[in-house]
Amino acid sequence: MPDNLSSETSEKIRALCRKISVANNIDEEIQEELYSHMEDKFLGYLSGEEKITEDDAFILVREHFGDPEHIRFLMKEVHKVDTQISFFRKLGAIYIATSAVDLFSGYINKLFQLALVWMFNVQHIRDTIGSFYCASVFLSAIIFISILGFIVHRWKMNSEKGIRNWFDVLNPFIFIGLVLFFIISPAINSIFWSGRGIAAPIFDLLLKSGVGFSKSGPNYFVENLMQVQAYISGFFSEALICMIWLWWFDRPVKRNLSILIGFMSWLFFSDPIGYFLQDIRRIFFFIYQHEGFQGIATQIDKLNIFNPLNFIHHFIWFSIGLISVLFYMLIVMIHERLNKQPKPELIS
Amino acid sequence: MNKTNKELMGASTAVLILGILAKAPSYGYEIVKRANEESENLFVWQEGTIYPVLHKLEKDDQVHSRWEESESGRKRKYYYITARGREKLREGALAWKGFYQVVLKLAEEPNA
Repeated sequence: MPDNLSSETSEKIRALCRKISVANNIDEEIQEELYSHMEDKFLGYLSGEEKITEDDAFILVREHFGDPEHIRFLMKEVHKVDTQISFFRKLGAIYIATSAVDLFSGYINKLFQLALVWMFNVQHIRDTIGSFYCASVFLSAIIFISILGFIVHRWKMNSEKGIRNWFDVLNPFIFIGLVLFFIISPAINSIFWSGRGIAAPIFDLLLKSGVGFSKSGPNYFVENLMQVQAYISGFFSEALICMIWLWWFDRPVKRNLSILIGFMSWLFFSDPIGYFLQDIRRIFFFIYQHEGFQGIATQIDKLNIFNPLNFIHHFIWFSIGLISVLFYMLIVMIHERLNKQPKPELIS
Repeated sequence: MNKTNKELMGASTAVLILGILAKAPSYGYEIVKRANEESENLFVWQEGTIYPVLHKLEKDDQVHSRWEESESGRKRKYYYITARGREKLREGALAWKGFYQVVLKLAEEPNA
C-alpha cells in the first residue's frame, strides 16, 4: 500500500470529514479518526489491496460517466428536432389549459356559492354576507392552481418518459381552433358568461340586486377575515399561475428569482391592470346608469343583449386575458434573460 | 444487500464489533475489513456508520480507545474491548443464538 496521499486529495478528504460536525470540543478528534479511515480506504484502492465490489464499480461508472442531468441537456440539444415541442405548441397548450381550468374552477365557484345559498337558506348570494363570496373565491383559487399544476406536471412527466402529449400530436388546425375558441369565447356570449378571460355562466340566482360585502353585524370579524383571505388567495393564485407558466417553459421555479418574478407579476401587472380596466368598465356604467359606485355591480343584470356596454365589458375582460398571456410570456423571457447560462461543453 | 440482511445487520452491529475486538484490538477501517472478510461479504457496511456505534460503545464503557502510531507512521485510533464489553458480547451472542434457533425451528418445513 502506498504510504501517503497527495496534499490535494488529503484536503478533499479533510473537507469531507469536516462535513460531519458534531460539537466543537470533540470535532477535531472525530474528524481525525474518520480521516484516517478514509485515508486507509483510499490507499487500499490505489494499491489494489481493497477489492472493488459491484456497488463500488457502479459508483465509479456513474461518476466517470457524468451527471445524467447534464448529459440529458446535451442530448436534447443534439436531438432538438426530435425531442422538443415547438414553442408555439407549448404556448398554445398552456393557454388552453389555463383557460379551461379557469372555466372549470369558475363553475365550481358558482356551484359552491349556490350550495352556500341553499344551505343557509338565503335568496341571493349578494344578499348574504361577503364571506360566502370570499370563501368561494378562495376555493376556486385553490382548485385552479392545483389542477393547472397537476396538468403541467403530467405533461412534463410524459415528455420525460418520451410519451407525446395530446397537444403535440393534435392536428394543427384543430389545435389553432381550440386556442381561438378559448380566446374568442368570452366575447361571444356577453350575457351568460362572466369572469376573467373565459369563465363560468352566471346563474340567475346570483345576479339579483343586493348589497356587496356587509360592513357590520355579528359576523363582522369573520367576514372581514374571509375577505382578507380572498384577497390573499388572489395574490397567491396570480403569482402561482406565473410560476406554473415559468415551470412549463422549463424555468426553475424553485429559484428565488422565479419566486420574485412570480410575485412581482402580481404586484405590477395582473391586479393593478385588471382593476384599472375594471374601473374603465365602472366608469362606463357610471356614465350610463348615473348611479353611485356601489350600485354599479348591481346594474349588470339590468343590461340586455342589445346593450353595447355588455360588449365593452366583455371586450375588456377579453383584453385582460390576452394581455395576461403576453405578460406571462414576458415573464418567461425576462427570466431567461436573467438566468442566461453558458451552454455546457460536450466534453467536460 | 437485501432488506432482511440490512435489518439483521443493524441489530447486530454492536455484537459484531465487540466480537471482532474480542479477538484483537483494532481500528475502524480494519474492523470493517475484518467483518467483511469473515462474513464473506454477506454484510456490507456503510463504513462511516460504524463510528457512531463505536463511540456509543465507548460511552457505555464496553470499549475504550487509544491513539497509536502504525508501522507506516500514520496515527490510528485503536479500540479495546473492556470487561463490560465482554459481558455484553456474551449476552448478545446468547440472545442471537436463541433467536437463531427459534427462527430455524419455525422456518423449517414440516416434511423437510
